[in-house]
Amino acid sequence: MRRHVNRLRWLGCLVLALWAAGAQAQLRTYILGERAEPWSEGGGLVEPVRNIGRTFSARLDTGNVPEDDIEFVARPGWISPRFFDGQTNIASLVIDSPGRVRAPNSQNISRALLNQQLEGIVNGDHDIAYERKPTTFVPEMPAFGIWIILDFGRQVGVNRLRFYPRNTVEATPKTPFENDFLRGFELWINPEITNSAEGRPDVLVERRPNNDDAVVEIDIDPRYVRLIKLRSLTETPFEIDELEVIGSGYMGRGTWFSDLIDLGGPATVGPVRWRERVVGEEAFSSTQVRVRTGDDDTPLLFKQRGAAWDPFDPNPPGFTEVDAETYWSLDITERGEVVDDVDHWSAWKTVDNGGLIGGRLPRQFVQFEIGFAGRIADTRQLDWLQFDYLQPPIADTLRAEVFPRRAPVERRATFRYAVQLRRNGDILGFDELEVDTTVPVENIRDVTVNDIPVPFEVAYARDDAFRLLLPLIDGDGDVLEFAFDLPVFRFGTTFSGRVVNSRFDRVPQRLEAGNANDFGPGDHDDLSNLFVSIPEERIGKLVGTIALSDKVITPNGDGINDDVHVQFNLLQLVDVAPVRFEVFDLAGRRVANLDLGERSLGPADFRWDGTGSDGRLLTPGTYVWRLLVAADAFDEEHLGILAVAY
Amino acid sequence: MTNRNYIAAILALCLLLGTATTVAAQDYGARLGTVKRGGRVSFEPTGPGVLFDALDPALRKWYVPQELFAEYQWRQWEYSNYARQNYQRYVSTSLEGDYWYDVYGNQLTQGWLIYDWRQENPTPFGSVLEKSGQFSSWFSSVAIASDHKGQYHYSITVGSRIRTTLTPMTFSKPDFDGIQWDFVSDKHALTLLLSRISEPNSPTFLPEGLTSNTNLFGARVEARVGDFVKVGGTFVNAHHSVTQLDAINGDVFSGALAEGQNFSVVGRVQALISDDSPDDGVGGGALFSSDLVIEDLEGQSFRASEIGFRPLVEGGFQRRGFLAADGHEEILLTYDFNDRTYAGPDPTEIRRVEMELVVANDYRIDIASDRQRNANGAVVFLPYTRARGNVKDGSNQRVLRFDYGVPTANQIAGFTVEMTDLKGVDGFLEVNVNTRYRKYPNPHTKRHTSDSDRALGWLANLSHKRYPWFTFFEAFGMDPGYSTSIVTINKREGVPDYDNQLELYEFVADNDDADQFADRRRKGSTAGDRDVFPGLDENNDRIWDFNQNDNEDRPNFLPDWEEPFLRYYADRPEFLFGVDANHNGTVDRFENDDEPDYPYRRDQEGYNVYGGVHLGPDVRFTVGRMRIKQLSDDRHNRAVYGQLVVDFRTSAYGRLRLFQDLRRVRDTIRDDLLQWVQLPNTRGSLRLVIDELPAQDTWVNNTWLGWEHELVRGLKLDNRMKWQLHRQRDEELALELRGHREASWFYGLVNKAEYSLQLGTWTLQPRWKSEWLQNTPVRRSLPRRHELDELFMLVVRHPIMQKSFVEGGVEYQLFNQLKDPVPPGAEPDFTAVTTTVQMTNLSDYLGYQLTTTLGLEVTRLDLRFEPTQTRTRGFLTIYAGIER
Repeated sequence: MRRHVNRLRWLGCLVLALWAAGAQAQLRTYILGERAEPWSEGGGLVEPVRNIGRTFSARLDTGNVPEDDIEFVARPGWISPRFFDGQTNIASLVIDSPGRVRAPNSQNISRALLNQQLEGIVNGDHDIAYERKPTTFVPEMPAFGIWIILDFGRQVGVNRLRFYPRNTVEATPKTPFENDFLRGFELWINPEITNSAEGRPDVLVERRPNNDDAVVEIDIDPRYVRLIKLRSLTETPFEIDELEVIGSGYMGRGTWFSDLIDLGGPATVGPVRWRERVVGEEAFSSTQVRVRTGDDDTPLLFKQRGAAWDPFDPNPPGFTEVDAETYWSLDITERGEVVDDVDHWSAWKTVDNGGLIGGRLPRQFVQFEIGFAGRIADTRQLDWLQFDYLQPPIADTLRAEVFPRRAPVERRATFRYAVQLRRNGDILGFDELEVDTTVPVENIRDVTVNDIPVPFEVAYARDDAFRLLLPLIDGDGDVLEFAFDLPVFRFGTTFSGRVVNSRFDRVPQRLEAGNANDFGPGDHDDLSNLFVSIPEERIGKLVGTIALSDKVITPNGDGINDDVHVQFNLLQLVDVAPVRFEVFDLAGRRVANLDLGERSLGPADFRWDGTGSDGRLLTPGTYVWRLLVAADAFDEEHLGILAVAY
Repeated sequence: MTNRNYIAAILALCLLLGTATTVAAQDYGARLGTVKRGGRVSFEPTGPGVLFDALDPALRKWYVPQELFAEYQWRQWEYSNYARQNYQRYVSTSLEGDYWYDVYGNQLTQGWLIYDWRQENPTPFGSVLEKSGQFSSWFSSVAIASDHKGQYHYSITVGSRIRTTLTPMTFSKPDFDGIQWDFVSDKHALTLLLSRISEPNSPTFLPEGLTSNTNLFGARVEARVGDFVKVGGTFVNAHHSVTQLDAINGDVFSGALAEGQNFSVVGRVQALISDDSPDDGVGGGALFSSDLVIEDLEGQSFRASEIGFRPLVEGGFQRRGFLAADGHEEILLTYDFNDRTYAGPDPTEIRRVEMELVVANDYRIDIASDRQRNANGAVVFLPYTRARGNVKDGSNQRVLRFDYGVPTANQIAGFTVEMTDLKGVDGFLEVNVNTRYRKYPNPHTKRHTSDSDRALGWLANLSHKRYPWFTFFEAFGMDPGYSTSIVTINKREGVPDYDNQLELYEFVADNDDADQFADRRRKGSTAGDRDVFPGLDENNDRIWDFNQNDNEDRPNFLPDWEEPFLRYYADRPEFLFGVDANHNGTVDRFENDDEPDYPYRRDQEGYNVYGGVHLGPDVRFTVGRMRIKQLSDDRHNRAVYGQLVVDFRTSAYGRLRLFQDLRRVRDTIRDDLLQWVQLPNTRGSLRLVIDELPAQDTWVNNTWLGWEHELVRGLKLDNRMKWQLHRQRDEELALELRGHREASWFYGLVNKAEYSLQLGTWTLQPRWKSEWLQNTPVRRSLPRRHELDELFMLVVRHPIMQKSFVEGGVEYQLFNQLKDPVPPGAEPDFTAVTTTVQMTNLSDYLGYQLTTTLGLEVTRLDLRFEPTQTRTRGFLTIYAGIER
């Protein structure tokens, strides 16, 4: 016998292992971050693509960090807005877009040579310098008042500036111009573009009319800078080998785009979670995660013009869709617009940490956008972002509706609920259903699948939701239907829900509102929804029925009527509102004041034991009570009489 | 009488007449006609008469003697010889004008038509308005007819730019173009206004008449009741009118659909739900459900939800049970009658469309349809309603039910009660209801359903004086939807262009500087006003007082406080002071905004009460309390304040003035302005000045002290001090998030001394001015300033001969930048010396008085870190004037 038991145990373990292997094959977790898909590599295989140009003059960007404003190195494995350690020269950032370097009043020098020299002062090349020195060919080379302007195109943190001629910091014996340093200068900075009228004038950092230092170093308090403007205050010829800008702190903004994450086929995607850390003061920084999903790996739509196009033709010919390769091979006059493919890709939707992705699911492709905002010393860092997904999905389509869609307020009403499953191929099906409510549900009954009663179990019925355990439902067109009782308290009570396959309960799939069943007369297919309205005349009230356990209390400690139990319903609210219970004597003096805190929609109750504001029991007599809800739009109060006796 | 006798009598009469005619015909006399019936030439419309003189039975061709005989005695059959009597040239008879008749046929006058406005219905092009050239050239576009008898007076004023006010909340314009009919007696007064506001002038294109137009009718009546009270009623209505329709057909004042509005059926109606306070990013408009009720021409109703007609819903964040338009998100709801789900009556059969929206939170709703477009054909959304306050918890959930339609009329009706000195109490109450009409377009019916929105505007003032005490109370409320404007019909297309501000007619003009030009370019005020600087043109020369020597011919790009010599008299604008009740950092009387000039701000409600005592003839102390809330947002302006005003003048110590204002403020209402700013190298322009909300929970102190004194004869001293302080009471973190400093202030001190010394024919004027300021702005991003500017001047004047004199002046400026490093935008230390020599000649020439100036100015500027700069200016200028 014992041997049989052991065999059964082994068999059970084997079945469990096989089942687990199957589960392993279907439930996957996608992790963005160093543990799996490194941030710096984009987290996927399909490059992101965005049109950063105009609709009819497209310019595609396929980078994960289009503005080069994300930090991958400072804290290994984490991303944050780009960080500068206070030691690194970041002047070379102005070479690439959106930065630039210029010297607007440098005359007597060719444009090409000027550009070469200007690039030479920020790229670390010690052979090339910006020169304002007369030569045999150009004897007139004014030096006074010359501006050199570094425009980073965005705000970067800076704490030190340094500039010098050749053969000083770096020995360049072939160009021994260490004495040709700038002998008088002003250094200005601006966090934005210069605009004296709008209150953004340049800030003078340093003015040295008589400079004796070949290597000029200027420390400034760490701050955001966009423009750095150096102006010569000397007629003496000079040169600048390098103008170094030492970066400091975090950039104010940073945006990271993931690659298009190919899930290998339509998949049910579970909640998105991430781990972030606050640097500095929390109030000054934020993170925003947005996500979009798609059916294919081309979120952009490329269009070709239908015929020779006349720009003055008020009725231009139609467009045909082409692939990207064809589009770029077209003559420019044949290229049409490049727009987001709204048919196959959803719009970007913000997702909360632990929240489900919005939009239509299941889909094969997912893309994330992570945006950071902060200050020079206050920012956020992200360690990882992950989500579970199921493949095949729970269902290809899950539509749900509730009926009737109009119900009396406060009174218990019976609702019928239906979920229809559709499948195109392999799916997992579901055996659990969770429906959102505002109060605990009652009397769930008549559970059927395709009109055939099925066994079920109520896993829980909380204030905010209930969950049903069901047999597996996975047939195409299967309709789950059941009834339940519940009072509604506001117009627009919505019984949104999600289904779960209990083998993978971490990955629910949301129900879409739509026509799932024919509930008979009054159920219009086009109007099917998960939304319940209330009679119009009940709109506008915040407090429903108020019930007192007794109108007389005898707080003498005998256990009978020692307190009053007040029950009432809060209606209409979509957020909490403060509620107060006050008692007045017949002279109008307030003798008791109970702060009931902030209450939300639905039933509420409390007890009052006859204690006054001074902590002592009220004297016998008749009192007026007032229940006050202080909502944003108005205060609603209700009055009544209460007697205290001993 | 027998038949025989009767015939004999007739024959005898004929014989007698025939004999008489034969005698007259001998010399063509009577036939040549001095044709005067009744002894004079008549121009009455009596038709052609009977000329018995021309009854001769002669065959000879005879021409009725008319103009040439009457004017020149010229006969076509007579030889003309001008030897003795010289030829007389033709003279146009129209020099004396045309003949004009009234509707009864009475001849009115011979003259010229100068103004004519007629409207005939039902006929196309039935509205004709003509202003002749004489109206503008002879009469400067104003004609007045008036009469009076005893206490009764009336006048009819027709003009293109009439200063007209009914009440400041209903109708007030400096340039009303239309007809004003006024009547007044001892106890009563009445005014009627009429204007075709869509085209108040003669059109410059054909046809002359217009079919669709916008007319304005206004009226105010006042009656004195007893000795102390005057009551009044006001009515202003502007409505679209179509002359093809019967004029008296339904409610005239609700207006008619113009041709362009009613050109075709409505294909879709739309509602746009957005966040009325988008800055907070939460609690925006919440849409729970929508429905549409469609009524056909036979009165049958169809509910969209019952016929399966579903709207297209775009945008919005999905919340549990509703869509939310938080922040800058918008929900666009489109009911498209061409949608496949639509199964209601054909759009040509629709008479009325009612939209039902269940909404909550801080919503703003704009409505549109494909019949509501701008000049480019783009659909334009027009505001329908906004939620009160900034509700976020859904407690204002409601069903909004309204008919869709395009605007056809705007009307204001109200009353006033004015009380004067009733036991020392003065009071004024005005209540107005604004009604905005709209109608549903459908060219397949002549009866269009109309719906309207209403908004209330009211004010009440009470004051009481009983020396030394005084009190004042004011309360007001003006709904956000209160509107005194209408988009007029485009004169060419017959379509209102809802996006074009030039087609918007304002009953109450925006004219903050109270001049003859409305500030904004609007219908009827197309020029607008470029120069708007209320309170800063005290001499009414339309020139900003801080740049007095500027004009069109010779623009001056330097404000006076920066110009050598002039700056002695002109202090910087920072030294202005006064009451700033809306706490936006600008003194109220210098404010210019972009709103009609209502007495109180739209979208606000509240009161202000103050009382005080005259502590002496020169000292007044006031305490007050103010509570204002913004109706469409959860914002407010609350203050408790105390003021002390001293204006003390003695011969021994001069004039001492003190203004002290201390207040505790909680102000979160934005009062953005358009203020005149003179940027470098410009003559100045209007710029948007954002209200930084510097006093959200703040102690604000304003102290201004001035002392003017003539110490000895010729030595004038002028000293001014200004101290403004904002001490914030919010927590440090909240201030940092707002970017505000905990304490900010402005200290300013101006000291001036001027002496005038006469030495024989030489006049010497030494002057000294010292200007010190220290400023820490509220915004952290703005730098602190600390500067001292010292000016020393000497001006010498000496006459030459009889009409000439020479002036020489030296100004030495010493500017000290007291902040190190130099703040952004500020000047470093410098010194400047300006030397000017000028000769002036005053001569009379050809009736003009010429002023000729000849001179040279040299300025040497020593900058601390820059090479010395020298600027010179030579000039010879002649001005011709009428008087000097």
